[in-house]
Amino acid sequence: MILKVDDVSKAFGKKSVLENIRLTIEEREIIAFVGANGAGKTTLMKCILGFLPFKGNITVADEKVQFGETASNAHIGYLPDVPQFYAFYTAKQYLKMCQKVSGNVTDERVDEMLKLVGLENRPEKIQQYSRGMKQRLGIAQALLHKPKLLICDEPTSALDPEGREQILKILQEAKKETAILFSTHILSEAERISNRMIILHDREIKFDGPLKRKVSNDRFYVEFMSEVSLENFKEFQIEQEKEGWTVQFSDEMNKQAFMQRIIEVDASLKKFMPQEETLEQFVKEVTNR
Amino acid sequence: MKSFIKKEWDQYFLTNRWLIFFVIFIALGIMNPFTAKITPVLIENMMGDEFSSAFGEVTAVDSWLQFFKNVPQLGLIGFLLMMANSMSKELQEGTLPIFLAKGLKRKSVILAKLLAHTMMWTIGYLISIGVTYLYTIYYWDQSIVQQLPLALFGIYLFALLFIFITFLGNTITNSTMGGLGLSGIVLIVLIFLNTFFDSKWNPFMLFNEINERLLNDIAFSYSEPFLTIIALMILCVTFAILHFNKRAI
Repeated sequence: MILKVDDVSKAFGKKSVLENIRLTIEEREIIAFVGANGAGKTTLMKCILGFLPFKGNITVADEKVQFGETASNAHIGYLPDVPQFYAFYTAKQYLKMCQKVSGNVTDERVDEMLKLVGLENRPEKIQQYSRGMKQRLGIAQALLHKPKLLICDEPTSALDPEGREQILKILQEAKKETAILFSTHILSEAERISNRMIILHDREIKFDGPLKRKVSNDRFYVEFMSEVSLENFKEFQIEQEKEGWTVQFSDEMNKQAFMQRIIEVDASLKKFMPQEETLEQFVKEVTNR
Repeated sequence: MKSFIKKEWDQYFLTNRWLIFFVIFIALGIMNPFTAKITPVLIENMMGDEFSSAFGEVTAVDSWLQFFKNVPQLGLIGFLLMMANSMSKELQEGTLPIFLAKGLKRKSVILAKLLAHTMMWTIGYLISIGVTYLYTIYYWDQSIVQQLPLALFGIYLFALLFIFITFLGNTITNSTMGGLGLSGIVLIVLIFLNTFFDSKWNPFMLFNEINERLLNDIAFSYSEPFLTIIALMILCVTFAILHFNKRAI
């Protein structure tokens, strides 16, 4: 087990932010940490890093996390949401400094990381880097010492689509050698690269499990062989799509009435498929429970 | 800690801060003998021969007296302004958490920064001494100046104490004004104590009777203020480490 968060609570003054959080992360898991702004994602990450005091127990690679100075950080790579660097260095100089801080990192590893993030042979100083380049450098420094756990706080939040794509590819590559906990608001990203999702809402973990979307029993996608007027179905709850309709049935009777109407208007069905719940709907459902 | 000292060093040299720094201290070094030399001429021009002759002949002591006026004031204030946000800037900009998350010891950050500031202050101070010395021996007989090494070392330590106090204030309050403010308060307290209480332990007494000391007219005990300064510096380092070790980030 790489990370164990056991009964962790955190309050800022009288305001409780996290209550009795329990979670574990195994080797090479990649976990999407989802929750609204202010849900406590960053706070929990900072507790894991020993940056904030907390109640409860956290261990990283069997090393107990202490507030302040903590030896457990030797096992962690951290990418803050807006990483800031010593801008007077080049990427290589910066990673060399990280190498010295971490200790057991070879020169080959520095070059490997620069290559991984596409910043090899860049002579310019970091102050001239774009946001995307800084984010890539952020991942390189976080992975440099081969951490057992990589913590990324919204790694793609302020990037353009191309930048996001690059970061996701790097994270997918990184999961071969480390467990990753990354927070995000972009659910499609969570679905694409993680195999487990944790939803934090209202101070608690509301969901922790693999990303599975339910197949709906009452929401169907309908396509006809020929054009059919919506007028004939106006008492049903229908959303028109490009090629067909999405129909939301209130109950089984409602669904049978819809089928009956198809027969009445002499329409021929091309497709009638139960719809998968979207990830957004899933998160909404979980957080509204 | 070595890596962080190197970073502090690089920060001085790769950002051209060193250039401003060296220009200031070289200028101060030139200014001391120059001011000593030019002051009687200015007085003579403004007030006439009689008034000017009352000042007597300018000697190497006058040049060093200018040093003790200028370097602890202009030099130290400039230096404090330059380093007064060295901790708060890193925390506010977020450059430090990445390294703390790698297991960098918090006390290493404090010690590395203080060591880098000490080195820079030492270099600047030595440059100023060197330039003042060369310029002084060019014009005057240096052999009349007595107790100079101890007097210089005293003011060096005094300035170092205020660098440490400013750093402590900046670490605790996380603001530039906090660092400078704490230094200001301590300075006022020391001046007050020096004015109203005759204590040989007060670091501010290192500024007392410099003229007489340089002319070797009086005996002066340096060890007590030195010990006070060293004790206060140790306290500053200890408090800064204790505070930073338990600081939420």
